[in-house]
Amino acid sequence: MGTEDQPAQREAEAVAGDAAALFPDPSRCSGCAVGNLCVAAGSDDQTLARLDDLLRVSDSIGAGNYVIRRGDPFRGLIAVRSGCFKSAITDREGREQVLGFHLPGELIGLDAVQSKRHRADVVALGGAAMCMLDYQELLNLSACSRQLQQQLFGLFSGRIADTNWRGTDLSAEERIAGFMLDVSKRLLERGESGEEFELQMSRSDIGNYLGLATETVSRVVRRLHEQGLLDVRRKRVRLANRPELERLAEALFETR
Amino acid sequence: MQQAELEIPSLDLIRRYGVTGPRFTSYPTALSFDEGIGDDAFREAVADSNDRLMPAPLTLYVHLPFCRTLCYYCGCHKKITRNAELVEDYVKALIREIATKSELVDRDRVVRGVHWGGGTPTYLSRDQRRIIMAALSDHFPLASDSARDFSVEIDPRTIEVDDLASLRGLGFNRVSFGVQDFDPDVQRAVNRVQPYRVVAEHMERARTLGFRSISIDLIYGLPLQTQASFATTIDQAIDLRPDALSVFNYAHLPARFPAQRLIREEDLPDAATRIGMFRDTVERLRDAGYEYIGMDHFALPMSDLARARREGNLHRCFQGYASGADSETLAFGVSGISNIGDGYFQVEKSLPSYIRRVRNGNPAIARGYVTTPEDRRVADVIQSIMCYGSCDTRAWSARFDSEFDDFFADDLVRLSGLVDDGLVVRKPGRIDVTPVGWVFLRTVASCFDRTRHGAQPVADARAYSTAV
Repeated sequence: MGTEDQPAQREAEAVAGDAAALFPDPSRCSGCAVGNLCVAAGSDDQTLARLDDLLRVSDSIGAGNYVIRRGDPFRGLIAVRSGCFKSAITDREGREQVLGFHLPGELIGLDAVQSKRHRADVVALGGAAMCMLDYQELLNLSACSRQLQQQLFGLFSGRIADTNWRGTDLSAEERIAGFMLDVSKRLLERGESGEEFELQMSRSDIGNYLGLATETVSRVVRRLHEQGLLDVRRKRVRLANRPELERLAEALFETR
Repeated sequence: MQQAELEIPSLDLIRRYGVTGPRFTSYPTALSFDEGIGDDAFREAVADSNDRLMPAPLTLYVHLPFCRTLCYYCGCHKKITRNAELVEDYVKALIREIATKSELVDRDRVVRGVHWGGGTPTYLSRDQRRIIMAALSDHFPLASDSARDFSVEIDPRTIEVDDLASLRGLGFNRVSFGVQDFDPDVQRAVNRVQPYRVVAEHMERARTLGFRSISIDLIYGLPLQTQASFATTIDQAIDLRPDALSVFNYAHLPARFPAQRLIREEDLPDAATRIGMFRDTVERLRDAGYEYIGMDHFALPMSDLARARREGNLHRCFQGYASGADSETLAFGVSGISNIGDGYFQVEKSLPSYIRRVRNGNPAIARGYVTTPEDRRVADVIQSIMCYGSCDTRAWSARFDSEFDDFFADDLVRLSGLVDDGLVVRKPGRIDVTPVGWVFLRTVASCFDRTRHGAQPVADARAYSTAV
């Protein structure tokens, strides 16, 4: 490469860089709203470009659409770009058990890395968007990027600390307070407002996940609302008194 | 919340502001309903309202459209008939509709309110009434007697001595008597003859039976009414001491309501007489200790409505005003309007198509409206004005995370004329309707109505009734 070319090339890059900053392309990692929390976080431009090549974006997944079916062979991971997904299994009697909710910037499918088969159905709640990342290609790419390796490792280990709500003997208040604080924490980690958020999941999904009857969810949320700990409107929740919620959920955090 | 005060406006103000306008029993009003909204949108809205973290308590509205005779002033959705077979088919369809719609609703949602309107609910036989109430209680968890507001509209001419006891036995604890006017000449002119003594006896009985709220409906502006005759009607009503009174302004719209063509226009009181009747109503009810609630409604201080108003729990709805600001309505029967999730959904108006669709296990929604976030911001202001004659604009800004003055910039320009004329006072963070402005409450509210002022006008003036 001739040295004379360099200034011109640098200028071209600078122009491209400006354009990218002004008009971020949301279908690429560099322009993604959760790019700084997802696998691409901290990656250099070269790795970013290669990530962009390997991901497949699905931008408008309607509510109730399944993106993974239990038993599907494991091929790759799903990164949530926006909206919310639910993992659940259904037993022989047709009873559903909700295993978890996936928020923007989180990865889905880690549970199948070992077994090579997905253990749960994954369904979009409300409108959602996601990226499919081919697992083998992701591994190959991470072999060339220490930053990507570290980011993946962090994302992989993060969800192992997931709370098993059903296995505990927490009261309904503790579960609801703990759940709201958990969602808040996960959103805060992703640079979003952890004080006020829209819950895409229905109260029956929340009840199922926490091991509570649907009407108990409403009764307890109403009580916390009336006591001024939560401010609830439709599906929107504001943590109106965080210290009091944390005190309520103390038992939960001790067991962790 | 302070009691609303009314001041009789000058003729000039009445001429300028007593214009046509919707009554805002909903926002957007029924005139915005669209036939593209049907069963699927209804099912979605019910599912959405089930999913919310704190689903609202429910009110069940049952429309019973049948009447034996025609009252000439009536603008309700009704069917004059003596055809017992048709009525029986209708009751069967209602039972089916109740079952179909209840399937969509989560089982833990408590029913706090039941309202039977018409037509004439008491047209039905006792057996038919019992069957309908049994269907409601089979398919929904009804609140206990002390926690419920179950009301029924009564035509005093249609009930027998022990009918009230039977209604109380079915679980109703509120009644409203359709009186309209006590003067025999006026009663004949509108084809609704019912002696004062009959109404008085029924009210006495209702009180003994433990009905918690007894109310009376009156209408001013009817044929042959004079200022003196209507003042007598008001005094007679006050003597009966109802908990609440609705005194409606008769809207003569013969083009829209064919029955009204039977009223001789030359018998109608003129504008000056109507204003006089309105003034007498306001003054006499105030002197008798009734509080003004809003629009056409007055209530004793200890009544549920007056209390709801003080506690900030008043709600403007299709039945006028009700306590329980957070409830959602599920409606059954022809023309009934559900207000659930983010929408309004009206059942078929035609009896044959209603019966056919319901028999097919269909919610039978014929038209409706799904509100946008913008509609809900406007609806919040209009509710507040219609219920309390005021709006806390700072609280609004905080609630919707949006600057009130910016969001309503154009609407506030419209409002400024009303401020200049003393109908409304603007202070930092507040909009307050004045005692004179209360008379033109819907004119104040309509400043914020975007369906009327916006790009898509929905109807011409003939569709509405006038303010005074």
